[in-house]
Amino acid sequence: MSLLGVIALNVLFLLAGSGILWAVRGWATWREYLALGGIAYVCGLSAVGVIATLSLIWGLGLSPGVIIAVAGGIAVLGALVGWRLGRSLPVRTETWMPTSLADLVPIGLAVLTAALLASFFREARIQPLTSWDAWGFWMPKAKAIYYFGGLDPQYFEHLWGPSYPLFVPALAAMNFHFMGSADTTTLGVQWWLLAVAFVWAGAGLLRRIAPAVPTWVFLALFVVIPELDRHLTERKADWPLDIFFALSACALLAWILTGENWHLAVYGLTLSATLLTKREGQLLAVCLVAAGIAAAGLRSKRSWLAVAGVALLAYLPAIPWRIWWTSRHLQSDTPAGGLLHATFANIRQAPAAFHLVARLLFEYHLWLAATPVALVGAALCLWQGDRRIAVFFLVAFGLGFVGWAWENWAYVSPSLPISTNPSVNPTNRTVASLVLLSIVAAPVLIGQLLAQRAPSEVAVLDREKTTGSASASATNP
Amino acid sequence: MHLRLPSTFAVVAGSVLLAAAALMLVVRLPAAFHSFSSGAAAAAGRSGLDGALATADAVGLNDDFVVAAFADIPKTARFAVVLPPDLPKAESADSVNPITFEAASPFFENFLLPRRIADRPARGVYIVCFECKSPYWDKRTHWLSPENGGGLIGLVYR
Repeated sequence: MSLLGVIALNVLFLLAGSGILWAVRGWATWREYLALGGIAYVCGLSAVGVIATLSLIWGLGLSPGVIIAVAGGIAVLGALVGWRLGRSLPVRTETWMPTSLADLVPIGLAVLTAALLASFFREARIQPLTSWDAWGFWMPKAKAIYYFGGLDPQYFEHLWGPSYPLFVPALAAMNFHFMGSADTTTLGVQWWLLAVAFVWAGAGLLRRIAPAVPTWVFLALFVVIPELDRHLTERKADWPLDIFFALSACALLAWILTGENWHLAVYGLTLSATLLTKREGQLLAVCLVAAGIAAAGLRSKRSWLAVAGVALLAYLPAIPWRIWWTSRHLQSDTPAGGLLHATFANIRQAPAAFHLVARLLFEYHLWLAATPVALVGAALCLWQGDRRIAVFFLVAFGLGFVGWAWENWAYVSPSLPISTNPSVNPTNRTVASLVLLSIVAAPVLIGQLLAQRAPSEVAVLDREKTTGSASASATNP
Repeated sequence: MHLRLPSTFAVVAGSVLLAAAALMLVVRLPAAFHSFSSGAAAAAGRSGLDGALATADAVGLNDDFVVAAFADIPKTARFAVVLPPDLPKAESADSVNPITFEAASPFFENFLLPRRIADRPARGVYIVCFECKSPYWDKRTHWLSPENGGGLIGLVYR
């Protein structure tokens, strides 16, 4: 029963997201829908999750009726917009079989990735809730929403992290409502579905900008990252934050390379979810905006309007939450004297902070080595004709690296020392954002290097330069 | 002047990077499948009381104490977690890990929901007493369960 509830809720996310995708892009065949379904799911999850947090702030609660109304409303609205824009109905796919022998390698890698995820499911389905932060405050908040119908002051004022955003507690509470009980064990499946969503949506976003083989090699690498297995099902906000951020980065990069505006909707929705998942989302959003503008053109009004404008819209849903907790005088966890003061007062800790971030980020037994591969690829791509991919990745990565180091030294205290011990310092979790950024960027960077041999293989990258348009790539069907 | 890598070098470099990533994947695959399987085996049977027993083991709380808390405190009741007044003394006297004392309150507050936490252990409030047994509480509390690993569940009646 509990598992069915999780599945039903996630089908609703897919339905809502399909409406969004239909409105902003549409799909020509059902095969194309299969390729883009992950993007639809992530858009639906982000949109429903964001509205759910607003619903809590407005005191509407998260009953199944509210959730169905929100998801159904988004789906219907999307369908109406798509109809108004004249989207044609998808036609039957002529064949579901591979069209060439070259397709067999990526299909094999996709099947391998699916097998890995299926194996992971067996663990995620029964993994009990044992992580301190999860049972200490993330899940009590979710249970309080479920049992008491909303933001019960007794819990939201005294649990740790009262100013933390609500996306994860709201997502968990929605699952509890559909399960019919606060079954935190089965809730692990929701976190597993986020990993599936990363793979499915990542493949959908990369299909136009990277060759299929590197794409699936890196998506399979994501599933075998040791830290993913160790920590995904802890039911904390770290992995959702990293997944939303990386998909947002991927959508923005896809927009920069293809110029197709529907990517901006994906970028905006996932960025909004990033901002509402953890306060660190603000730091990551700054990284993306700066990287996007640097890559799309500092002097281009269009890039400012699209990248910064959409980010500003994505931030709007975070404002009611800020008003809610500040108006109730809930404790913020900013350092004493404010962030600016702490930044300079603790500056002597900066070298140790940089060392910590570097050490944890490049630890092979935690993350494998997707990040060094992406960095080398980016360095080489700086010497290519088109530097946009390398600039985007290096600016986002560099700012993120400095940002995580800054967070370490600005917030340093006896209870939060600069340490590799994960029970007192969160850096071994926060650097995952940069690892996932590397995983979505590496196939594009490698694709650009490989395209030197046969430009047609990465059609979008070169065709766009010559014709100004971005039609379908032949490499990642 | 725009410097560009020779195309052959770029292709070779891209191929090497792709091969390195593929090699990483191949080397990691057996360990990943093994890790998922062993994770599932280790998790099997540990989700009793929605994971409360697994967490209790991790923080050093006695399983029977936790089971008694679930059984003895009604879902609509209020409860308070009571610890000894001098924690360092209790840690050394009863050989209790400081983590266990630190975890006790948030642990019960989460896992016993929808039972609400009370501001203080007044009359009519249940107490989850961990290493707190004393004449003071004996006079005010009707104990509902035998002592399990230093833990008792009681109802304050005066």
